[in-house]
Amino acid sequence: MLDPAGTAAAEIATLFWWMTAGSAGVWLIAVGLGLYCARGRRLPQPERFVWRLIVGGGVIVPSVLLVVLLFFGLRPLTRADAASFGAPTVTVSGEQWWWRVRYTRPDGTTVDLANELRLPVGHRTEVALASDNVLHAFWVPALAGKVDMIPGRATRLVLEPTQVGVFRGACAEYCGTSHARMDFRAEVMSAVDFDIWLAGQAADALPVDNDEARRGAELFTWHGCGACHAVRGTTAAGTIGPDLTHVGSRSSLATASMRNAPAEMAAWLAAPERTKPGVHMPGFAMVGDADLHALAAYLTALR
Amino acid sequence: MPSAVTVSRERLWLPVVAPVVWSTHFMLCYTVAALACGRFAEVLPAARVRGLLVVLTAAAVTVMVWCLHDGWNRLGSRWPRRAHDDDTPHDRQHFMAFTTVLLASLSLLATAFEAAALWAVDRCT
Amino acid sequence: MTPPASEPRATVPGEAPLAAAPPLELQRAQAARLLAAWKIPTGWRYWSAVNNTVVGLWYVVLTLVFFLFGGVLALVMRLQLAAPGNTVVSADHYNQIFTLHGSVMMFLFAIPIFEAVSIMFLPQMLGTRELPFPRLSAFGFWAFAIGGTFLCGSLFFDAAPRGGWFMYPPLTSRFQPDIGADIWLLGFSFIEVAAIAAAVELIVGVLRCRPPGMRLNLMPLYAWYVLVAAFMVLFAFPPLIVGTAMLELERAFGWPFFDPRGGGDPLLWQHLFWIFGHPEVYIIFLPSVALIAMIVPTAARRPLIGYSWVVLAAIGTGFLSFGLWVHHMFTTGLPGITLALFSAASSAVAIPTAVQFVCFFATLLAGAIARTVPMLYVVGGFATFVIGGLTGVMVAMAPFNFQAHDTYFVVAHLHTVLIGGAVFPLLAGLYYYFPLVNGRLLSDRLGRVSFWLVFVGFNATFMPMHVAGLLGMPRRVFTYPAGLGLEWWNLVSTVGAFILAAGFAVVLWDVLRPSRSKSPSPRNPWNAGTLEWLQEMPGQPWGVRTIPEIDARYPLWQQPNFVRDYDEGRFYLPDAEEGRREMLVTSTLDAVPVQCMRIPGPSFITLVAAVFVGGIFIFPTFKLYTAMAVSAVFATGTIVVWLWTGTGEIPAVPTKHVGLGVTLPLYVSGRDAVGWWAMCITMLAVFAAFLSLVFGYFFYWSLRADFLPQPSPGPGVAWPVAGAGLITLAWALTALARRWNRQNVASACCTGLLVASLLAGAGVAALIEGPSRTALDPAASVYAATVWLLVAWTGIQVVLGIVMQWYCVARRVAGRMTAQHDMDLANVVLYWHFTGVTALLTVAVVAGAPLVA
Repeated sequence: MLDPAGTAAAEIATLFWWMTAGSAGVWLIAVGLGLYCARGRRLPQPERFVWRLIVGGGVIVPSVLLVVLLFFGLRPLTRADAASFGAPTVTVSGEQWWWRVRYTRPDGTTVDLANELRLPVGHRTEVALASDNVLHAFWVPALAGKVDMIPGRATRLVLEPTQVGVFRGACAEYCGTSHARMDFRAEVMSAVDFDIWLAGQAADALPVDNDEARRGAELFTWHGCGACHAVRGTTAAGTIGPDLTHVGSRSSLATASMRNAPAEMAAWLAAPERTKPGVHMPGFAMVGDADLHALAAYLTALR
Repeated sequence: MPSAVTVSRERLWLPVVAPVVWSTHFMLCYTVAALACGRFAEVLPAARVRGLLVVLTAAAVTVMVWCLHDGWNRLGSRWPRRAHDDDTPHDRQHFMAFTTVLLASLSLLATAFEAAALWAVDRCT
Repeated sequence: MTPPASEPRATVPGEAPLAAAPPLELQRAQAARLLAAWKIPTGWRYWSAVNNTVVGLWYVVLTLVFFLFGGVLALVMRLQLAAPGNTVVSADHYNQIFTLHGSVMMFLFAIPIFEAVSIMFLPQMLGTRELPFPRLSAFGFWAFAIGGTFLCGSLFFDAAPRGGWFMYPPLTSRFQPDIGADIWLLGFSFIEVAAIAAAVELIVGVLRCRPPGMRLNLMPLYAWYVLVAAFMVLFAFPPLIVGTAMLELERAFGWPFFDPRGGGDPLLWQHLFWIFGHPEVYIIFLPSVALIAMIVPTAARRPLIGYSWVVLAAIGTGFLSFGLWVHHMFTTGLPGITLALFSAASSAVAIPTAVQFVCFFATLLAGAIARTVPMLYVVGGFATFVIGGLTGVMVAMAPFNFQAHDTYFVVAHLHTVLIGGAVFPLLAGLYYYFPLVNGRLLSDRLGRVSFWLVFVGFNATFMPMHVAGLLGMPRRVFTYPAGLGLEWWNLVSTVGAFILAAGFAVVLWDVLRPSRSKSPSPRNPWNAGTLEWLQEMPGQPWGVRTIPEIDARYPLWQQPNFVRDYDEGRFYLPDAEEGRREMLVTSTLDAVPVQCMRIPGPSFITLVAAVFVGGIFIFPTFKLYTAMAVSAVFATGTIVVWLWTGTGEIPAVPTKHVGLGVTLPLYVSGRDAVGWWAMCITMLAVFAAFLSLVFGYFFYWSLRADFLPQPSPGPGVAWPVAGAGLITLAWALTALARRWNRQNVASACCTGLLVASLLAGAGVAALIEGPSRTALDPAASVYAATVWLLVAWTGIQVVLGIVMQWYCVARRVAGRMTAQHDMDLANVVLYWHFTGVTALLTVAVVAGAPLVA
């Protein structure tokens, strides 16, 4: 959060630095005064001086400092927080322990993906937050503060990135066993690149072009992965787990725990529990290495 | 010298009237704000909310100023020149009066902080 | 020290100590009788002791054991976090460990230590013999011991709670079906009962059991702080108890208080928890600062400057701290205006906090400082606490909070204020007050070594956490990703934690090493001016040799010949002629003696009662509801026996000469009686819980337009109103019964009480009939659940009231209650006042609200 790349984060970072400077000053004065007093120079006629110390140092100075602080500290709350007109909105839902992401375009169509967020630079994107299980919190420190995702309530956040780049996101509300393994990546791109990317995500899954991937597609259906996962354009339409239509295009796997490459994918499929303790997905080590590699080839080909 | 005020006027709880008023004011303002930003947004538009908060604050401040004034009178209408450390009814009453004055002042200060914040950030989102 | 300039003091018969010392033979005989009356039992009977010094010692020791347990848990956590991807413990074990670390530290250390220290030292600080209800203190200790062991033991069965110390639903209501959450909910409820018992004891002790002449403006500051903290407990714990009951009901029976599918809201838990949780940290902080307020004047060798300002600070902080709780919920999407309100209040609380420290400085400035280990810890604690206070003001600003919330920045903040503001002062207090425990001094050298280890270790552990949080490390994570720059900061924290642990180990060694290797302490080793230092070295079990007449705030400094008069028994109650334990009850404002109170001696009944009351909480954890009911019956029985044998004793002779020409009644009933005060204070806490329930009802109502079911509204009107009417009649009849008893018409009194109990029973049945008739299913909607909970709460209160009515009948029939000696009935009538109001409010809400809506 000290390296802001969004307007909200920048405003908060400025506030933080001023508060830190002020606090350091107050601490030095307070502790200096304490040490000086602890030296115990017996003052003659202390009464008059100490009343001034108590009223001045105890009441007046803190009150003045706090009023100033409140003025600057609360100012960000007075600003309106609307999204840019015509931009797509994103709905992020917290799951145990992954992120369900749905873009809603201005024409009303939706694009489903998971564990990754991409934003156009310079635009204000409305992020609607939800959860139907436990509490989570959506947080991209470089862009803005966090907001909780509360079952039964709708919360929202507006992100306005000011720099292109890839930024870390995390879940910031304890949500169970693998709360620590629920990071994600927020990639900020130019508006043009963003539109291209979104259009690509909206399309159905690419057709597979090599034998191993084709075998992987068959295994995918054979092992019933479609019961939990969706790959648009195929028969797989499950919504319990992350949408995998373009999983190969994501910048990381298993909520930013692994690189997105065939070897890591295979390792994940074999024993997801090892990366994400408590995960609801069963392991597939029993299908054997060859099949795992085929599945991994198929999934990483889904760009 | 023994104070003119009789012992029977002293109650243990008199000094805490002002903080109790502060907490009542606080809870009522919070409730008004929460309802106005929630289910009752139509019934409580911003202007009405502000009006309600002003009325609540004025009422609270009035009572606290009364407490301050009452304590000040019982203090002999002047800042104590020496501490009330003695084992006399007078000093004990003085102590209660001074505590009343201090608590009323703190309650006023806290109410002022909160009222200013409510006035400045007058929005739901 | 020269006595302050004074005005002519009003003289009252008996105010001055005896002009001449009693003959030496008489003094020795008096001391011997006192010792015999206050003797601490030996052998296995030692565990039946109720002396505050003994119970207080057990309490302190057990609390420190839990502290060490929580500390070891923290070391395991730090080992796990020393490097990313560590596998010292599994994710699930880590989650149990961090939950227990927080829960143990907050519930089994930080709160109990203030109760323990107060039970142990408050009577001596006040110059009195005991707290007013010694058996209640013992009961509180046993409840704490049983509950705490139950909780910590769960870790060794892999059954510890793992929802965080704050246990947010829905994670803890629907997604952790194992027993851990139930252990947390029920175990801590039990301990909260002990905390409220301690609060009652301390409030009554401070307000009514001071020595004669100790007017409010002469009270030691520790007493003021403890009074404030105890009142805070009364109003902070009940919302948690209510929330805990709701969460347990949801887990056990599916009542959807926090489940949006049933109309509930997870945020209500957060509100109830933090309405408790924020004042809780001030309940921890204030009594610790109180120790500083006792140490600083001694170190400065002069009275504290700004006494009234410090009292203001204590009371002001106590009140303001109840207006901060939403700052733990800033990221939940609340309106901006709410955030601003709580930011402002959270900042305002810094002012009284600053005032008291400035008063301490002023005192030091005006005095000549003795450089002692306690002062070292005081100054170190202050330097640490200010950092925490400043980061606290930072996170109080809502916009910054959006970034810092739920990160290690907050972990750093909370430990800085808690360790700086509570642990350092406690260590100062340990070194300062140790001589009162066994007449020995702790080592100056070891104290300095431990201080520097603790100070350096603390900073090394927690300062890097500020940076880790700012770099984006969230809380409650069993590991963190590599490559974010967090590795070095975490490693330094881990090393620091072990240095900190070494510091505590040195303190532990200093305390545990054999007594003969410690230097014996002279009497009043620090030349302090306050009453606890009257104690002989080593101390005697009588509390004080004689209850002194107080004329000044620092009697050992300011009252001439005070110690000599005390030693020779020239004040009140220097003797125990009838072999009974006696103390004085005095008036609230000016400590005029009003009663000579006889208090009970050792008994095992408190342990038995704690076991059965514990059963009420522990059996439901394992879903053994029949056992729970049986335990409840036995608990009630034990408590009835306890009250029957230990309270309301009618003295053979109505008054006693307590010394200095003052004769006082031995039996008082009604508003002047400490038992009545205890009932009143307890019922304030119970009523606060009830109001939290009502708050819950209107909270849901304010959230959803469809909270009240349509078309058929709630429990109807007829049955609830009938119930209210019957209960009100019972209430009125009970009050009349007291009047009849006073008029000595025993038959009318007993008949009235029995009829009242029948009416009350019918009233409960009517209340239950209402929602039963309209088939309100509490598992189906939060509305039904809330109505049923309100009805159940009222019902339980009325049923307990019925037991009390029968108890009074039995007392009257057995001759243990008479027309003049009616404290049992006076207290029961008071209970019924609260219960009647509760019943009326319940009916107004459940029957009336649907009509209004």
